[in-house]
Amino acid sequence: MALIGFELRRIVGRRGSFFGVMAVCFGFALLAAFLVPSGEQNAGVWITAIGTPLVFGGAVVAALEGSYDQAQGTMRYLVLTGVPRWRLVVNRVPALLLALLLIALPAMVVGAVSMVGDDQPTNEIVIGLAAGLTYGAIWGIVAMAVGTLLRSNGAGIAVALVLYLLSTAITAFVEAQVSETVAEYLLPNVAAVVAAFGYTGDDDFTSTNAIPYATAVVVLLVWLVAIVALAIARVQRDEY
Amino acid sequence: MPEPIIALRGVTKRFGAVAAVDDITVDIQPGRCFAWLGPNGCGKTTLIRMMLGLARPSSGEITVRGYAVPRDARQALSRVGAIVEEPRFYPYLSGRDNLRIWAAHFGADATARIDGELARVGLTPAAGQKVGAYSLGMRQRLGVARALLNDPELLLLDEPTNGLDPAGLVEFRTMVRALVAEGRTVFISSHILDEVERMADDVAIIQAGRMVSAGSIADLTRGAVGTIDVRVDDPALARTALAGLAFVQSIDDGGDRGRVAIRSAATGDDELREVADRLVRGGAGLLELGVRAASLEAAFLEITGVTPGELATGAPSAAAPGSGSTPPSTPQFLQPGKGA
Repeated sequence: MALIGFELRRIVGRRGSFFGVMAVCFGFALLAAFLVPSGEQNAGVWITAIGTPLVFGGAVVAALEGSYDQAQGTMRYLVLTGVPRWRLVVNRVPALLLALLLIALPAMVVGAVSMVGDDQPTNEIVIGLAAGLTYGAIWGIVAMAVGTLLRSNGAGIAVALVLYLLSTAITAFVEAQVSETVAEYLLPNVAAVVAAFGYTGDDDFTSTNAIPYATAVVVLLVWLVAIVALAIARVQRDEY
Repeated sequence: MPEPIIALRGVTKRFGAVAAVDDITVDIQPGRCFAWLGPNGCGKTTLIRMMLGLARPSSGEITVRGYAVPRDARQALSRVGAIVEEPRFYPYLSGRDNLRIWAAHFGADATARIDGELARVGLTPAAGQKVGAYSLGMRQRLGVARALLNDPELLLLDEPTNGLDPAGLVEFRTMVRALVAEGRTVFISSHILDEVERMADDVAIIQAGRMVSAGSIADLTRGAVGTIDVRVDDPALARTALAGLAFVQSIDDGGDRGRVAIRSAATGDDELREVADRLVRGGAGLLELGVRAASLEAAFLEITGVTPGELATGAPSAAAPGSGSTPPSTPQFLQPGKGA
Protein backbone atom coordinates (compact mmCIF):
# COMPACT_ATOMS: atom_id res chain seq x y z
CA MET A 1 0.00 0.00 0.00
CA ALA A 2 2.81 2.37 0.86
CA LEU A 3 4.30 2.02 -2.59
CA ILE A 4 0.92 2.74 -4.19
CA GLY A 5 0.63 5.81 -1.98
CA PHE A 6 4.02 7.07 -3.09
CA GLU A 7 3.16 6.34 -6.72
CA LEU A 8 0.07 8.51 -6.22
CA ARG A 9 2.27 11.13 -4.57
CA ARG A 10 4.40 11.28 -7.70
CA ILE A 11 1.37 11.65 -9.96
CA VAL A 12 -0.06 14.44 -7.83
CA GLY A 13 3.41 16.01 -7.61
CA ARG A 14 3.35 16.63 -11.36
CA ARG A 15 1.01 19.46 -10.61
CA GLY A 16 0.65 20.87 -14.10
CA SER A 17 -0.89 17.74 -15.53
CA PHE A 18 -2.79 16.68 -12.41
CA PHE A 19 -4.43 19.97 -11.48
CA GLY A 20 -4.73 21.06 -15.10
CA VAL A 21 -6.86 18.05 -15.96
CA MET A 22 -8.80 18.46 -12.74
CA ALA A 23 -9.58 22.07 -13.66
CA VAL A 24 -10.71 21.16 -17.17
CA CYS A 25 -13.00 18.39 -15.87
CA PHE A 26 -14.41 20.78 -13.31
CA GLY A 27 -14.97 23.43 -15.95
CA PHE A 28 -16.82 21.02 -18.25
CA ALA A 29 -18.99 19.89 -15.34
CA LEU A 30 -19.88 23.51 -14.54
CA LEU A 31 -20.80 24.11 -18.17
CA ALA A 32 -23.05 21.03 -18.17
CA ALA A 33 -24.67 22.03 -14.91
CA PHE A 34 -25.39 25.60 -15.96
CA LEU A 35 -25.92 25.40 -19.73
CA VAL A 36 -28.01 22.24 -20.05
CA PRO A 37 -31.55 22.93 -18.90
CA SER A 38 -32.75 21.21 -15.79
CA GLY A 39 -34.57 18.02 -16.67
CA GLU A 40 -32.52 17.45 -19.81
CA GLN A 41 -29.32 16.41 -18.09
CA ASN A 42 -29.34 12.77 -19.16
CA ALA A 43 -26.52 10.24 -19.05
CA GLY A 44 -25.13 11.35 -22.41
CA VAL A 45 -24.69 14.92 -21.17
CA TRP A 46 -22.69 13.85 -18.16
CA ILE A 47 -20.61 11.36 -20.07
CA THR A 48 -19.64 14.20 -22.37
CA ALA A 49 -19.10 16.57 -19.47
CA ILE A 50 -16.89 14.28 -17.40
CA GLY A 51 -15.91 11.36 -19.60
CA THR A 52 -14.51 13.33 -22.52
CA PRO A 53 -12.13 15.62 -20.60
CA LEU A 54 -11.23 12.76 -18.28
CA VAL A 55 -10.31 10.47 -21.16
CA PHE A 56 -8.19 13.17 -22.83
CA GLY A 57 -6.65 14.50 -19.62
CA GLY A 58 -6.42 11.09 -18.04
CA ALA A 59 -4.48 9.82 -21.03
CA VAL A 60 -1.95 12.61 -20.48
CA VAL A 61 -1.63 11.89 -16.76
CA ALA A 62 -1.49 8.14 -17.31
CA ALA A 63 0.97 8.14 -20.21
CA LEU A 64 3.22 10.40 -18.17
CA GLU A 65 2.98 7.98 -15.28
CA GLY A 66 3.95 5.12 -17.55
CA SER A 67 6.90 6.78 -19.23
CA TYR A 68 8.19 9.30 -16.70
CA ASP A 69 10.60 7.10 -14.75
CA GLN A 70 12.21 5.91 -17.94
CA ALA A 71 12.53 9.42 -19.36
CA GLN A 72 13.73 10.92 -16.08
CA GLY A 73 16.28 8.15 -15.43
CA THR A 74 14.72 7.23 -12.08
CA MET A 75 13.61 3.79 -13.26
CA ARG A 76 17.04 2.28 -12.74
CA TYR A 77 17.06 3.50 -9.15
CA LEU A 78 13.61 2.01 -8.56
CA VAL A 79 14.85 -1.28 -10.01
CA LEU A 80 17.86 -1.15 -7.69
CA THR A 81 15.63 -1.09 -4.62
CA GLY A 82 14.98 -4.78 -5.15
CA VAL A 83 11.22 -4.36 -5.57
CA PRO A 84 10.30 -6.78 -8.38
CA ARG A 85 10.04 -5.01 -11.69
CA TRP A 86 6.56 -6.37 -12.38
CA ARG A 87 5.38 -4.87 -9.13
CA LEU A 88 6.70 -1.45 -10.07
CA VAL A 89 4.39 -1.56 -13.10
CA VAL A 90 1.41 -3.16 -11.37
CA ASN A 91 1.53 -0.53 -8.61
CA ARG A 92 0.89 2.09 -11.24
CA VAL A 93 -2.62 0.79 -11.93
CA PRO A 94 -4.29 1.39 -8.53
CA ALA A 95 -2.33 4.62 -8.12
CA LEU A 96 -3.64 5.81 -11.48
CA LEU A 97 -7.22 4.86 -10.62
CA LEU A 98 -6.96 6.77 -7.34
CA ALA A 99 -5.46 9.75 -9.15
CA LEU A 100 -8.27 9.77 -11.73
CA LEU A 101 -10.83 9.58 -8.95
CA LEU A 102 -9.23 12.60 -7.28
CA ILE A 103 -9.08 14.45 -10.58
CA ALA A 104 -12.75 13.77 -11.26
CA LEU A 105 -13.89 14.50 -7.72
CA PRO A 106 -14.67 18.23 -8.09
CA ALA A 107 -16.58 17.53 -11.32
CA MET A 108 -18.46 14.68 -9.64
CA VAL A 109 -19.45 17.04 -6.84
CA VAL A 110 -20.88 19.43 -9.43
CA GLY A 111 -22.77 16.50 -10.97
CA ALA A 112 -24.07 15.43 -7.57
CA VAL A 113 -25.26 18.95 -6.83
CA SER A 114 -27.09 19.01 -10.17
CA MET A 115 -29.16 16.06 -9.07
CA VAL A 116 -30.91 18.29 -6.60
CA GLY A 117 -34.27 19.18 -8.05
CA ASP A 118 -37.50 17.30 -8.60
CA ASP A 119 -37.32 17.20 -12.38
CA GLN A 120 -33.76 15.93 -12.63
CA PRO A 121 -33.21 12.39 -14.01
CA THR A 122 -31.06 11.34 -11.04
CA ASN A 123 -30.51 7.82 -12.28
CA GLU A 124 -29.18 9.04 -15.62
CA ILE A 125 -26.86 11.53 -14.02
CA VAL A 126 -25.40 8.82 -11.78
CA ILE A 127 -24.88 6.56 -14.76
CA GLY A 128 -23.36 9.41 -16.72
CA LEU A 129 -20.91 10.26 -13.96
CA ALA A 130 -19.97 6.62 -13.41
CA ALA A 131 -19.60 6.03 -17.13
CA GLY A 132 -17.38 9.10 -17.52
CA LEU A 133 -15.15 7.93 -14.71
CA THR A 134 -15.02 4.39 -16.09
CA TYR A 135 -14.10 5.64 -19.54
CA GLY A 136 -11.29 7.71 -18.04
CA ALA A 137 -10.03 4.72 -16.05
CA ILE A 138 -10.08 2.31 -18.99
CA TRP A 139 -8.31 4.58 -21.43
CA GLY A 140 -6.00 5.79 -18.68
CA ILE A 141 -4.82 2.24 -18.04
CA VAL A 142 -4.30 1.79 -21.78
CA ALA A 143 -2.30 5.03 -21.98
CA MET A 144 -0.20 4.12 -18.93
CA ALA A 145 0.57 0.64 -20.23
CA VAL A 146 1.42 1.85 -23.73
CA GLY A 147 3.54 4.65 -22.25
CA THR A 148 5.46 2.04 -20.25
CA LEU A 149 5.63 -0.39 -23.15
CA LEU A 150 6.91 2.12 -25.69
CA ARG A 151 8.78 4.23 -23.11
CA SER A 152 7.08 7.26 -24.60
CA ASN A 153 4.59 9.74 -23.23
CA GLY A 154 3.42 10.77 -26.69
CA ALA A 155 2.88 7.20 -27.85
CA GLY A 156 0.82 6.41 -24.78
CA ILE A 157 -1.43 9.40 -25.32
CA ALA A 158 -1.71 8.83 -29.05
CA VAL A 159 -2.60 5.14 -28.91
CA ALA A 160 -5.22 5.62 -26.18
CA LEU A 161 -6.86 8.58 -27.87
CA VAL A 162 -6.83 7.13 -31.36
CA LEU A 163 -8.51 3.97 -30.08
CA TYR A 164 -11.00 6.07 -28.13
CA LEU A 165 -11.81 8.54 -30.87
CA LEU A 166 -11.99 5.96 -33.63
CA SER A 167 -13.73 3.34 -31.54
CA THR A 168 -16.99 3.55 -33.48
CA ALA A 169 -15.21 3.51 -36.81
CA ILE A 170 -12.96 0.62 -35.81
CA THR A 171 -15.85 -1.43 -34.52
CA ALA A 172 -17.93 -0.70 -37.61
CA PHE A 173 -15.07 -1.56 -39.91
CA VAL A 174 -14.39 -4.89 -38.22
CA GLU A 175 -18.12 -5.60 -38.12
CA ALA A 176 -18.40 -5.05 -41.87
CA GLN A 177 -15.11 -6.56 -42.98
CA VAL A 178 -14.45 -9.34 -40.51
CA SER A 179 -17.25 -10.41 -38.27
CA GLU A 180 -19.91 -8.92 -36.07
CA THR A 181 -18.88 -11.20 -33.24
CA VAL A 182 -15.23 -10.18 -33.42
CA ALA A 183 -16.28 -6.54 -33.44
CA GLU A 184 -18.19 -7.04 -30.23
CA TYR A 185 -15.08 -8.28 -28.48
CA LEU A 186 -12.85 -5.41 -29.52
CA LEU A 187 -11.50 -3.22 -26.76
CA PRO A 188 -13.37 -0.03 -27.77
CA ASN A 189 -16.68 -1.87 -27.87
CA VAL A 190 -16.34 -3.79 -24.60
CA ALA A 191 -15.11 -0.57 -22.98
CA ALA A 192 -18.32 1.17 -24.11
CA VAL A 193 -20.53 -1.71 -22.98
CA VAL A 194 -18.92 -1.87 -19.55
CA ALA A 195 -18.99 1.90 -19.10
CA ALA A 196 -22.71 1.95 -19.97
CA PHE A 197 -23.55 -0.04 -16.83
CA GLY A 198 -26.48 -1.59 -18.67
CA TYR A 199 -27.88 1.79 -19.69
CA THR A 200 -30.21 1.46 -22.67
CA GLY A 201 -31.82 4.88 -22.79
CA ASP A 202 -32.29 7.13 -25.78
CA ASP A 203 -28.63 8.12 -25.70
CA ASP A 204 -27.32 4.56 -25.59
CA PHE A 205 -23.65 5.18 -26.31
CA THR A 206 -22.54 1.65 -27.13
CA SER A 207 -22.00 0.76 -30.75
CA THR A 208 -23.37 -2.73 -30.40
CA ASN A 209 -24.86 -4.18 -27.32
CA ALA A 210 -25.26 -7.82 -28.19
CA ILE A 211 -22.53 -8.99 -25.88
CA PRO A 212 -23.75 -9.75 -22.35
CA TYR A 213 -22.58 -7.31 -19.69
CA ALA A 214 -20.71 -9.88 -17.60
CA THR A 215 -18.92 -11.16 -20.69
CA ALA A 216 -18.00 -7.62 -21.64
CA VAL A 217 -16.48 -7.07 -18.20
CA VAL A 218 -14.41 -10.23 -18.48
CA VAL A 219 -13.27 -9.44 -22.02
CA LEU A 220 -12.37 -5.90 -20.99
CA LEU A 221 -10.30 -7.21 -18.09
CA VAL A 222 -8.54 -9.61 -20.43
CA TRP A 223 -7.71 -6.73 -22.77
CA LEU A 224 -6.38 -4.56 -19.95
CA VAL A 225 -4.41 -7.36 -18.32
CA ALA A 226 -2.89 -8.24 -21.68
CA ILE A 227 -1.82 -4.67 -22.36
CA VAL A 228 -0.38 -4.24 -18.85
CA ALA A 229 1.34 -7.63 -19.19
CA LEU A 230 3.06 -6.39 -22.35
CA ALA A 231 4.29 -3.38 -20.41
CA ILE A 232 5.54 -5.65 -17.62
CA ALA A 233 7.32 -7.85 -20.12
CA ARG A 234 9.11 -4.81 -21.51
CA VAL A 235 10.19 -3.65 -18.06
CA GLN A 236 11.26 -7.18 -17.08
CA ARG A 237 13.64 -7.52 -19.99
CA ASP A 238 14.86 -3.95 -20.37
CA GLU A 239 18.35 -2.87 -19.40
CA TYR A 240 18.64 0.32 -17.40
CA MET B 1 41.93 -13.59 2.82
CA PRO B 2 38.20 -12.75 3.14
CA GLU B 3 35.73 -13.66 0.44
CA PRO B 4 35.68 -10.98 -2.26
CA ILE B 5 32.63 -8.77 -2.09
CA ILE B 6 32.67 -8.56 -5.88
CA ALA B 7 34.09 -11.26 -8.10
CA LEU B 8 34.18 -10.84 -11.86
CA ARG B 9 35.17 -13.75 -14.08
CA GLY B 10 35.70 -13.13 -17.79
CA VAL B 11 32.94 -10.53 -17.89
CA THR B 12 32.27 -9.27 -21.39
CA LYS B 13 29.56 -6.99 -22.75
CA ARG B 14 29.18 -6.61 -26.46
CA PHE B 15 27.06 -4.12 -28.37
CA GLY B 16 27.06 -5.66 -31.82
CA ALA B 17 30.66 -6.12 -32.84
CA VAL B 18 31.96 -3.70 -30.22
CA ALA B 19 33.10 -5.05 -26.85
CA ALA B 20 32.34 -2.29 -24.35
CA VAL B 21 33.67 -4.50 -21.57
CA ASP B 22 36.10 -7.17 -22.61
CA ASP B 23 37.00 -10.21 -20.52
CA ILE B 24 37.31 -8.57 -17.11
CA THR B 25 38.46 -10.82 -14.26
CA VAL B 26 39.11 -9.33 -10.85
CA ASP B 27 38.31 -9.80 -7.16
CA ILE B 28 37.41 -6.83 -5.01
CA GLN B 29 38.05 -7.23 -1.32
CA PRO B 30 35.61 -5.97 1.33
CA GLY B 31 36.28 -3.00 3.55
CA ARG B 32 38.37 -1.09 1.04
CA CYS B 33 37.92 1.72 -1.46
CA PHE B 34 38.40 0.35 -4.94
CA ALA B 35 38.68 2.69 -7.92
CA TRP B 36 37.91 1.79 -11.49
CA LEU B 37 40.02 4.21 -13.47
CA GLY B 38 39.81 4.92 -17.14
CA PRO B 39 38.94 7.50 -19.76
CA ASN B 40 35.35 8.39 -20.59
CA GLY B 41 33.75 5.78 -22.81
CA CYS B 42 36.06 2.96 -21.75
CA GLY B 43 33.30 0.79 -20.29
CA LYS B 44 33.28 1.86 -16.65
CA THR B 45 29.55 2.55 -16.45
CA THR B 46 28.65 -0.54 -18.45
CA LEU B 47 30.54 -2.68 -15.98
CA ILE B 48 28.81 -1.04 -13.02
CA ARG B 49 25.41 -1.57 -14.65
CA MET B 50 26.21 -5.25 -15.07
CA MET B 51 27.35 -5.57 -11.47
CA LEU B 52 24.00 -4.09 -10.41
CA GLY B 53 21.93 -6.37 -12.62
CA LEU B 54 20.78 -3.42 -14.71
CA ALA B 55 22.43 -4.90 -17.79
CA ARG B 56 23.21 -8.48 -18.70
CA PRO B 57 26.75 -9.55 -19.55
CA SER B 58 27.27 -11.14 -22.93
CA SER B 59 29.49 -13.70 -21.21
CA GLY B 60 31.25 -14.24 -17.91
CA GLU B 61 30.14 -14.45 -14.30
CA ILE B 62 29.48 -11.76 -11.73
CA THR B 63 29.17 -12.41 -8.02
CA VAL B 64 28.21 -9.64 -5.60
CA ARG B 65 28.12 -10.37 -1.87
CA GLY B 66 28.26 -14.04 -2.70
CA TYR B 67 25.21 -13.97 -4.98
CA ALA B 68 25.25 -14.44 -8.74
CA VAL B 69 24.13 -11.36 -10.67
CA PRO B 70 21.78 -10.95 -12.46
CA ARG B 71 20.24 -14.31 -11.39
CA ASP B 72 20.10 -13.49 -7.68
CA ALA B 73 20.26 -9.73 -8.06
CA ARG B 74 17.56 -9.09 -5.48
CA GLN B 75 19.51 -10.80 -2.68
CA ALA B 76 22.81 -9.40 -3.92
CA LEU B 77 21.54 -5.84 -3.99
CA SER B 78 19.64 -5.89 -0.71
CA ARG B 79 22.61 -4.15 0.91
CA VAL B 80 24.17 -2.40 -2.06
CA GLY B 81 23.85 1.32 -2.76
CA ALA B 82 24.67 2.92 -6.05
CA ILE B 83 24.92 5.98 -8.22
CA VAL B 84 24.98 5.10 -11.91
CA GLU B 85 25.99 7.79 -14.43
CA GLU B 86 24.29 10.51 -12.46
CA PRO B 87 21.83 10.62 -9.62
CA ARG B 88 18.30 11.11 -10.91
CA PHE B 89 15.34 12.24 -8.83
CA TYR B 90 11.84 13.63 -9.10
CA PRO B 91 12.65 17.33 -9.54
CA TYR B 92 9.21 18.49 -8.45
CA LEU B 93 9.58 16.88 -5.02
CA SER B 94 11.81 17.95 -2.16
CA GLY B 95 15.02 16.13 -1.36
CA ARG B 96 13.44 14.63 1.73
CA ASP B 97 10.29 13.52 -0.16
CA ASN B 98 12.48 11.90 -2.78
CA LEU B 99 14.30 9.93 -0.10
CA ARG B 100 10.96 8.96 1.44
CA ILE B 101 9.93 7.42 -1.86
CA TRP B 102 13.07 5.33 -2.13
CA ALA B 103 13.01 4.44 1.54
CA ALA B 104 9.45 3.13 1.09
CA HIS B 105 10.80 0.78 -1.56
CA PHE B 106 13.64 -0.38 0.70
CA GLY B 107 11.51 -0.84 3.82
CA ALA B 108 10.86 0.68 7.23
CA ASP B 109 14.49 0.61 8.38
CA ALA B 110 15.42 2.82 5.45
CA THR B 111 12.79 5.41 6.36
CA ALA B 112 14.35 5.71 9.80
CA ARG B 113 17.73 6.45 8.23
CA ILE B 114 16.63 9.42 6.12
CA ASP B 115 17.51 12.18 8.57
CA GLY B 116 20.86 10.64 9.45
CA GLU B 117 21.91 10.26 5.84
CA LEU B 118 20.78 13.78 4.96
CA ALA B 119 22.94 15.02 7.81
CA ARG B 120 25.88 12.88 6.70
CA VAL B 121 25.91 14.44 3.24
CA GLY B 122 25.28 17.93 4.62
CA LEU B 123 21.88 18.39 3.02
CA THR B 124 19.70 18.80 6.09
CA PRO B 125 19.20 22.55 5.55
CA ALA B 126 18.20 22.02 1.92
CA ALA B 127 16.14 18.87 2.46
CA GLY B 128 12.86 20.75 2.10
CA GLN B 129 13.79 22.37 -1.22
CA LYS B 130 12.64 20.90 -4.49
CA VAL B 131 15.36 18.82 -6.14
CA GLY B 132 14.81 20.79 -9.34
CA ALA B 133 16.45 23.73 -7.59
CA TYR B 134 19.49 21.69 -6.49
CA SER B 135 22.90 22.15 -8.05
CA LEU B 136 24.60 19.12 -9.58
CA GLY B 137 26.79 18.87 -6.51
CA MET B 138 23.74 18.83 -4.23
CA ARG B 139 22.15 16.13 -6.36
CA GLN B 140 25.34 14.10 -6.07
CA ARG B 141 25.15 14.41 -2.30
CA LEU B 142 21.49 13.43 -2.33
CA GLY B 143 22.44 10.50 -4.54
CA VAL B 144 24.93 9.34 -1.94
CA ALA B 145 22.29 9.76 0.78
CA ARG B 146 19.88 7.62 -1.25
CA ALA B 147 22.61 5.03 -1.83
CA LEU B 148 23.10 4.78 1.94
CA LEU B 149 19.43 4.33 2.84
CA ASN B 150 19.59 0.51 2.86
CA ASP B 151 22.68 0.50 5.09
CA PRO B 152 24.82 -0.92 2.29
CA GLU B 153 27.83 -3.15 2.71
CA LEU B 154 28.87 -2.10 -0.75
CA LEU B 155 28.57 1.28 -2.45
CA LEU B 156 29.02 1.54 -6.21
CA LEU B 157 29.54 5.15 -7.20
CA ASP B 158 29.93 6.07 -10.84
CA GLU B 159 31.90 9.29 -11.28
CA PRO B 160 30.63 10.49 -7.90
CA THR B 161 32.58 13.73 -7.76
CA ASN B 162 31.11 15.23 -10.93
CA GLY B 163 29.83 18.69 -10.14
CA LEU B 164 31.43 18.98 -6.72
CA ASP B 165 33.28 22.18 -5.94
CA PRO B 166 36.76 21.99 -4.33
CA ALA B 167 35.35 22.12 -0.82
CA GLY B 168 32.79 19.50 -1.77
CA LEU B 169 35.56 17.29 -3.14
CA VAL B 170 37.42 17.38 0.15
CA GLU B 171 34.22 16.61 2.06
CA PHE B 172 33.43 13.78 -0.32
CA ARG B 173 36.87 12.22 0.09
CA THR B 174 36.52 12.45 3.85
CA MET B 175 33.10 10.86 3.66
CA VAL B 176 34.34 7.99 1.49
CA ARG B 177 37.16 7.28 3.90
CA ALA B 178 34.69 7.40 6.80
CA LEU B 179 32.44 4.90 5.02
CA VAL B 180 35.41 2.60 4.52
CA ALA B 181 36.33 3.04 8.18
CA GLU B 182 32.80 1.85 9.03
CA GLY B 183 33.65 -1.41 7.28
CA ARG B 184 31.84 -0.70 4.02
CA THR B 185 33.34 -1.32 0.63
CA VAL B 186 33.29 1.64 -1.72
CA PHE B 187 33.69 1.06 -5.44
CA ILE B 188 34.13 4.25 -7.43
CA SER B 189 34.68 4.80 -11.09
CA SER B 190 36.53 7.86 -12.15
CA HIS B 191 38.64 9.41 -14.85
CA ILE B 192 40.33 11.79 -12.41
CA LEU B 193 43.72 10.44 -11.38
CA ASP B 194 44.37 12.79 -8.51
CA GLU B 195 41.01 12.02 -6.96
CA VAL B 196 41.56 8.28 -7.18
CA GLU B 197 45.04 8.53 -5.74
CA ARG B 198 43.75 10.42 -2.71
CA MET B 199 40.67 8.33 -2.11
CA ALA B 200 41.28 4.74 -3.11
CA ASP B 201 43.19 1.84 -1.58
CA ASP B 202 43.11 -0.26 -4.72
CA VAL B 203 42.76 0.63 -8.35
CA ALA B 204 42.11 -1.11 -11.64
CA ILE B 205 42.98 0.63 -14.85
CA ILE B 206 40.62 0.00 -17.73
CA GLN B 207 41.28 0.93 -21.30
CA ALA B 208 39.11 0.26 -24.33
CA GLY B 209 36.99 -2.10 -22.25
CA ARG B 210 39.90 -4.20 -20.99
CA MET B 211 41.56 -4.15 -17.62
CA VAL B 212 45.22 -3.42 -18.19
CA SER B 213 46.35 -3.28 -14.58
CA ALA B 214 45.07 -3.79 -11.07
CA GLY B 215 46.52 -3.55 -7.62
CA SER B 216 46.93 -1.34 -4.62
CA ILE B 217 47.96 2.25 -5.30
CA ALA B 218 51.27 1.48 -3.61
CA ASP B 219 51.84 -1.52 -5.86
CA LEU B 220 51.05 0.44 -8.97
CA THR B 221 53.22 3.43 -8.19
CA ARG B 222 56.09 1.25 -6.97
CA GLY B 223 56.68 -0.03 -10.46
CA ALA B 224 56.27 3.32 -12.19
CA VAL B 225 59.05 5.60 -13.33
CA GLY B 226 59.77 8.90 -11.62
CA THR B 227 60.83 12.17 -13.12
CA ILE B 228 63.99 14.20 -12.50
CA ASP B 229 63.27 17.85 -13.25
CA VAL B 230 66.17 20.14 -14.10
CA ARG B 231 66.50 23.73 -15.29
CA VAL B 232 69.56 24.41 -17.41
CA ASP B 233 71.02 27.19 -19.54
CA ASP B 234 71.12 25.02 -22.64
CA PRO B 235 68.54 22.21 -22.97
CA ALA B 236 70.10 20.92 -26.18
CA LEU B 237 73.46 20.44 -24.46
CA ALA B 238 71.65 18.78 -21.55
CA ARG B 239 70.08 16.25 -23.87
CA THR B 240 73.50 15.46 -25.35
CA ALA B 241 75.10 15.18 -21.94
CA LEU B 242 72.47 12.78 -20.62
CA ALA B 243 72.44 10.54 -23.67
CA GLY B 244 73.46 7.01 -22.87
CA LEU B 245 72.58 6.99 -19.18
CA ALA B 246 71.09 3.58 -18.52
CA PHE B 247 68.39 4.68 -16.11
CA VAL B 248 67.10 7.52 -18.33
CA GLN B 249 64.06 6.43 -20.29
CA SER B 250 63.16 9.66 -22.06
CA ILE B 251 64.03 13.33 -22.05
CA ASP B 252 61.54 16.11 -22.63
CA ASP B 253 63.32 19.42 -23.22
CA GLY B 254 60.26 21.19 -24.57
CA GLY B 255 59.55 23.06 -21.32
CA ASP B 256 59.91 26.82 -21.08
CA ARG B 257 62.85 28.67 -19.55
CA GLY B 258 65.26 25.75 -19.95
CA ARG B 259 63.22 23.20 -18.05
CA VAL B 260 63.94 19.57 -18.89
CA ALA B 261 61.98 16.56 -17.61
CA ILE B 262 63.96 13.34 -17.41
CA ARG B 263 61.81 10.21 -17.01
CA SER B 264 63.92 7.86 -15.00
CA ALA B 265 63.64 4.21 -13.94
CA ALA B 266 65.20 5.22 -10.61
CA THR B 267 65.34 8.55 -8.80
CA GLY B 268 67.73 7.81 -5.92
CA ASP B 269 70.69 9.86 -4.80
CA ASP B 270 73.07 8.04 -7.13
CA GLU B 271 70.95 8.87 -10.15
CA LEU B 272 70.62 12.52 -9.12
CA ARG B 273 74.37 12.79 -8.59
CA GLU B 274 75.04 11.23 -11.99
CA VAL B 275 72.63 13.59 -13.75
CA ALA B 276 74.10 16.65 -12.04
CA ASP B 277 77.63 15.56 -12.84
CA ARG B 278 76.84 14.94 -16.52
CA LEU B 279 75.08 18.30 -16.89
CA VAL B 280 77.91 20.24 -15.27
CA ARG B 281 80.60 18.43 -17.22
CA GLY B 282 78.61 18.73 -20.42
CA GLY B 283 78.41 22.51 -20.05
CA ALA B 284 74.60 22.63 -19.96
CA GLY B 285 74.66 25.07 -17.04
CA LEU B 286 72.71 23.40 -14.22
CA LEU B 287 70.44 25.89 -12.40
CA GLU B 288 67.89 23.70 -10.62
CA LEU B 289 67.43 20.00 -9.94
CA GLY B 290 64.53 18.17 -8.30
CA VAL B 291 62.65 14.90 -8.20
CA ARG B 292 59.03 14.06 -8.80
CA ALA B 293 58.34 10.72 -7.14
CA ALA B 294 56.45 8.09 -9.07
CA SER B 295 52.73 8.83 -8.85
CA LEU B 296 49.58 7.12 -9.99
CA GLU B 297 49.62 9.57 -12.87
CA ALA B 298 53.05 8.37 -13.91
CA ALA B 299 51.99 4.76 -13.49
CA PHE B 300 48.85 5.36 -15.52
CA LEU B 301 50.79 7.10 -18.26
CA GLU B 302 53.28 4.30 -18.36
CA ILE B 303 50.65 1.58 -18.47
CA THR B 304 48.23 3.13 -20.90
CA GLY B 305 50.11 5.80 -22.77
CA VAL B 306 47.14 8.07 -22.09
CA THR B 307 47.93 11.52 -20.75
CA PRO B 308 45.87 13.04 -17.95
CA GLY B 309 44.34 15.43 -20.48
CA GLU B 310 43.27 12.58 -22.73
CA LEU B 311 41.96 10.74 -19.71
CA ALA B 312 39.71 13.66 -18.83
CA THR B 313 38.36 14.11 -22.32
CA GLY B 314 38.22 10.48 -23.27
CA ALA B 315 40.25 11.21 -26.41
CA PRO B 316 42.02 8.17 -27.77
CA SER B 317 45.76 8.00 -27.41
CA ALA B 318 48.14 7.21 -30.21
CA ALA B 319 50.48 4.26 -29.88
CA ALA B 320 49.41 3.68 -26.34
CA PRO B 321 50.86 0.62 -24.72
CA GLY B 322 48.02 -1.73 -24.13
CA SER B 323 45.53 0.38 -26.02
CA GLY B 324 43.50 -0.25 -29.13
CA SER B 325 42.89 -3.77 -30.26
CA THR B 326 45.88 -5.40 -28.64
CA PRO B 327 45.95 -4.56 -24.97
CA PRO B 328 48.24 -6.53 -22.70
CA SER B 329 46.64 -9.84 -21.89
CA THR B 330 47.33 -9.53 -18.16
CA PRO B 331 47.71 -6.59 -15.81
CA GLN B 332 51.28 -5.51 -15.33
CA PHE B 333 51.39 -5.23 -11.57
CA LEU B 334 48.95 -7.75 -10.17
CA GLN B 335 47.42 -10.70 -11.85
CA PRO B 336 43.68 -10.09 -12.04
CA GLY B 337 41.58 -12.46 -10.05
CA LYS B 338 44.29 -12.82 -7.41
CA GLY B 339 42.88 -10.11 -5.22
CA ALA B 340 43.13 -6.48 -6.08
